[in-house]
Amino acid sequence: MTDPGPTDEPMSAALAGDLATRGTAQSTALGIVMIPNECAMRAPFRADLVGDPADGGLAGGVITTLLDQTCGMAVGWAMRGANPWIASGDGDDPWAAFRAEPRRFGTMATLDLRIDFVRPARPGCDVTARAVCYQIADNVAFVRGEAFEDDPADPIAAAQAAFMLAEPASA
Amino acid sequence: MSLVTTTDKLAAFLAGWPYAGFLGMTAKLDGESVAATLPFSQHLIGNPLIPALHGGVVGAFLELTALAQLAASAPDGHAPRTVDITIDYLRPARAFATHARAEVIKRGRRVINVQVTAWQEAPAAPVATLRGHFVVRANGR
Repeated sequence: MTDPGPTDEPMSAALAGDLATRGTAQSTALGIVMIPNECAMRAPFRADLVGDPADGGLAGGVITTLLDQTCGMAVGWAMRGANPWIASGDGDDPWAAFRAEPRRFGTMATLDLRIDFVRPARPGCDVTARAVCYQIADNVAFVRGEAFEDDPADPIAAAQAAFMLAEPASA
Repeated sequence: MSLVTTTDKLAAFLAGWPYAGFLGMTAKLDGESVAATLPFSQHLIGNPLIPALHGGVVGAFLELTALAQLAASAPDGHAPRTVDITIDYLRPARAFATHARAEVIKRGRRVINVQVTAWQEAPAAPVATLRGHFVVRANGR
């Protein structure tokens, strides 16, 4: 089988995860940095990214983008069978099948994203987001995420997202 | 500074929120309704393969449109606080300008329910919608 050209190359499982992990033009513009060995990334505080001037913290929109991308990365991790929040438990390993035979998905599209803004981000503070894909069923990936400054137990925002995983064009 | 007109309040909102400037969002009034536009820019890309705007950017633009509408119609011109948002992604937002309009579904004493629709080519072909709750802050904030 010949290598498909770049325009109709379906996004491989690895690339789907890598898009979120390597960074996008938008996440680069925001200065978002990956946190090694975790499905997490951080948006450093910047004055030009402040939302309500009365609060002085990073805008809700920055946190929305941070959570969206982290949730996308979690889907990429799940498709490669890497999911520390779930797979580290003993007994049933829900990702064993994905590890044994990593599935090739086509494009990954966000269906919906819900975010609860528990409180504003604190002025001058970086914001970190982490996410976990807790199930993939019928080509829909279900993801939870959360954003915080230092302590996950003191959240800024919580996210719930669903992603549609299209079959590769060559399937 | 006393903000008398909705035009003043909308301008003050856009100038006062640095992040709105980072995105490059603009807005004007059409009657009492805020007509928001997000011009395309390379730094808004989330998926270079399509290419498409970052899903987070689309969500942020929808949220800012709701806040701009509420700030423009608030007696003191202050935006309320976002409590929760749900974004439905309907089509890829491609490398074009995106437009949005907010509709206040219910304005309670403390909580306001807003629906926002974003489109590119035509309002009948929305790229995303947002439903959100916004809370008017105590002491006018």
